Amino acid sequence: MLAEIGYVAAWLALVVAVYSVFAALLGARRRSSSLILSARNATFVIFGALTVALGTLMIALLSQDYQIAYVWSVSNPSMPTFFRITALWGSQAGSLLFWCWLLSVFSAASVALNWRSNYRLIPYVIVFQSTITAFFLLLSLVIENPFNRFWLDGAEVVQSALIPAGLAAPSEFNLAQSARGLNPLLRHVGMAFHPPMLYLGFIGFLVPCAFAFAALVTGDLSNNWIRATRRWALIAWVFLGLGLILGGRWAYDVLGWGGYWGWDPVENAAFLPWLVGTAYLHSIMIQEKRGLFKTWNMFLIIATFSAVIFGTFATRSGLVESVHSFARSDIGFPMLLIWFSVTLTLGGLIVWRRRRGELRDDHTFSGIFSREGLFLLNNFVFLALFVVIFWGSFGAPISSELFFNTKITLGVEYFTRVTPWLFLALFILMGIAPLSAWGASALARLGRGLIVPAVLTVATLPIFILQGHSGMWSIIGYFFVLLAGWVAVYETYRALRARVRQRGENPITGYLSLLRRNPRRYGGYLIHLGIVVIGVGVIGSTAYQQETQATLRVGESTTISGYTMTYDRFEGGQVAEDGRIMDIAVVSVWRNDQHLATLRPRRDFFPNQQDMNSMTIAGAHSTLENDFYVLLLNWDEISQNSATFKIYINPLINLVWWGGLILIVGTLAAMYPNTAPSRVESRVSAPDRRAFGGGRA
Amino acid sequence: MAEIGWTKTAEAPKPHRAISGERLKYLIGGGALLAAVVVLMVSGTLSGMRYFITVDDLLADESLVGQSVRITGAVIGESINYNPETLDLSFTVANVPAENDDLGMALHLAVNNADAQRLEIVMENEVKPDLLVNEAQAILTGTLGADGKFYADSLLLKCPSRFSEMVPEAGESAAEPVIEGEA
Repeated sequence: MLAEIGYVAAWLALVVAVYSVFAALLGARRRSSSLILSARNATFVIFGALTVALGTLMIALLSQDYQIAYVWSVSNPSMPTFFRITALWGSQAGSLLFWCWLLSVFSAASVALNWRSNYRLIPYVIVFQSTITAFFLLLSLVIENPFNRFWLDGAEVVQSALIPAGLAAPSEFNLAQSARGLNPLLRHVGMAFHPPMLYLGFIGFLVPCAFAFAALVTGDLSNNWIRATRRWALIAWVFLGLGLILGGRWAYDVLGWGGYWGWDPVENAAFLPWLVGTAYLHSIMIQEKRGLFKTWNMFLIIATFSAVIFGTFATRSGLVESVHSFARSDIGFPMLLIWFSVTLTLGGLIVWRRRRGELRDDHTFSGIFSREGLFLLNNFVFLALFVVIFWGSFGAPISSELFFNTKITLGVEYFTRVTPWLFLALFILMGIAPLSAWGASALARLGRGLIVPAVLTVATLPIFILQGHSGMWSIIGYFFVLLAGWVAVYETYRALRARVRQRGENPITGYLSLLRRNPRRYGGYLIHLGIVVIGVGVIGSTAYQQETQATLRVGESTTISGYTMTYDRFEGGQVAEDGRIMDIAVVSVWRNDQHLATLRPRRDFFPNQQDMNSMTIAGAHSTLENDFYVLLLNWDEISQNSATFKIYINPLINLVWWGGLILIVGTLAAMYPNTAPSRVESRVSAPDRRAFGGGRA
Repeated sequence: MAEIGWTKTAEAPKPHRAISGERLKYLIGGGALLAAVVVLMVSGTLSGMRYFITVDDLLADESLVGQSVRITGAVIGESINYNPETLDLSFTVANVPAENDDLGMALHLAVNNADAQRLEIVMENEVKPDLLVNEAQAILTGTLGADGKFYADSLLLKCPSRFSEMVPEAGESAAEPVIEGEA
């Protein structure tokens, strides 16, 4: 019964989605408010129907209805409830339905929230969003149906969502016995939250793109579409960033290679929209402040959404060889088709509007050291990163196969050689751009603004050099990354100082009112700070990772960069709640004769899994300085007296995760509704603004 | 320090010649930046480039001996040999045809086909990955030595279950569903 309910609800959503597209189109053409209203209500119905569909799949997972093929393939009787829930996105069919549901959430919410304020754009927003939702629903229902059930056809088992005539259900007991269980690699908190975060990030960009589409179609090419969607873009952006960080954390905890980013095509596919999305978030400020780059911003948001669809296609179709990719699936071709048509349609609309002269900029460009000039450079670097990463992950393999009939892939060396330069350029710009002014700024003024942050940077560099991080390139890297950080901190401090002096506020309320007055600027500084903290962590953990391996008898010790690790005992055959059998080595970690931690690196064995049935879980002692990260590789099965370990020292790695937290706080701050009209503030001449602590907003 | 104008009319149109001079400057600057990125990409591509070929392709072309390439093959479970103390890892892979509709099935057939070309893989200082199991797809980067062994420095594995999630291993129990990969 469950499967029928879910299946029917999902079909209902599809039919209503198609209806809403036509109703909205017709409503806009005929200026019929009742049709547009009906299209709006249809988006709410889609959301409702998909909630029911997703809900039934969730109930099926929780109630262990193994006749449903999806439930059978991702869960088994020994799995704990938490992983039963996360199994909802544990494999293609379920995650596609989850994806559709999220699409409907964003569509319904964006339509509801902009109904009054952007009435003219709404019909076309609905057209775009419902078309995308309908497309993915069609994929889900026709190719990757999560409601398919097993039926016995003589000796064979067949799959069908509806009850086939004359066929009976297989025995429940047998199904439960043979159920697969979630892939052990996915049984991790990072993996439980990483896909939804990433999906939220991906799908979040649907909203700005839909509004851009509506602006292009209606000809309302003012800043309305940007104003309406700035927060949506920020939400999408931060979720995407979080998804990437959580994915890295999962790889670090579960894959057991001591790293968190491997330049794998699927990782890159998620990183690409983030890069263009970041360029977009910077670039729209120029349009809002100076009326420049209108075509460019349209292009950027379309490129972002196009990268989202391409990334989804690349990940879900099995196009590329990757540890992370889904099973090879038939959804590849239709996805390629929608990617192509969406990109082509939107691109065509831009060209059309531009040729009609409707995307003309309000001002002329005024010098490369103006804020807009530096933002343009920033956009250039982000796009350059996009292009080189796309080329390395997809461009080179695909074009070599198309044109030379041989497949060429680019290894990690390509990325480690090409991208550091561009990241360095980004951090340099991150240090300079906040000091520049809209319209024009003098080099001398930029230089003056950099003096204090540069002094602070030089003062903090020894912290890293004394840790032994003294290679020339890493010092250069640390310098520019820290400089960007100190610029953000110092600019905030100056504004705060002015406020405290003039109004006698205490620093905390002063800071909060700074955030309230200019959330974009001071939230932006916090975001910059988060990125700086991540940058420092990446340099330290990439350039100065140390590793060793040792086979120890119980009581013996090994040392690595000042740490001593002693193998205390072995605890074999511990059975966990989800049925896994854990073999644990207990080790203690010492530094300067001081006991730091007792770690339990282990090896988990999953008796119910046929293919990949074991997993190496690291033990780690984390401090801000570094991670002491130890893997249990092997042990003497019989005497259990000796075991082999691999140990990594990962300097500054925790800054990567902490930076992520700062990123969230900064984004939340940047989304805060602005209480001060920015135009009034911008009209004040530069010296006065300084006095008011408003900076060069 | 510039005063910012808010309306179109406030901005005095610049003389045409001045714009084109500016434009030229930006074009040259932009061109230089673009060239720098292209140089980076080309040099990176040359250093990171690997042919991605099958075991058959590799063994058929003698000129590839000693060249860094990327190959794909099906892991033969019983050939896996691992010394956890020295971290020496070796195993054999069987050729998997480049074109196949069902990779899970292709891997299964490759391992069980005595006529498929096989290649011994040697890796040093490599922790045996949990995914290294029978019929897994191995994607290896390394060089074919003159001794006919493939010396790999990186190993990427995909588990058969990732390809055909709906196919339980046959022969476990008679009542178990035997399901085609089509969902």
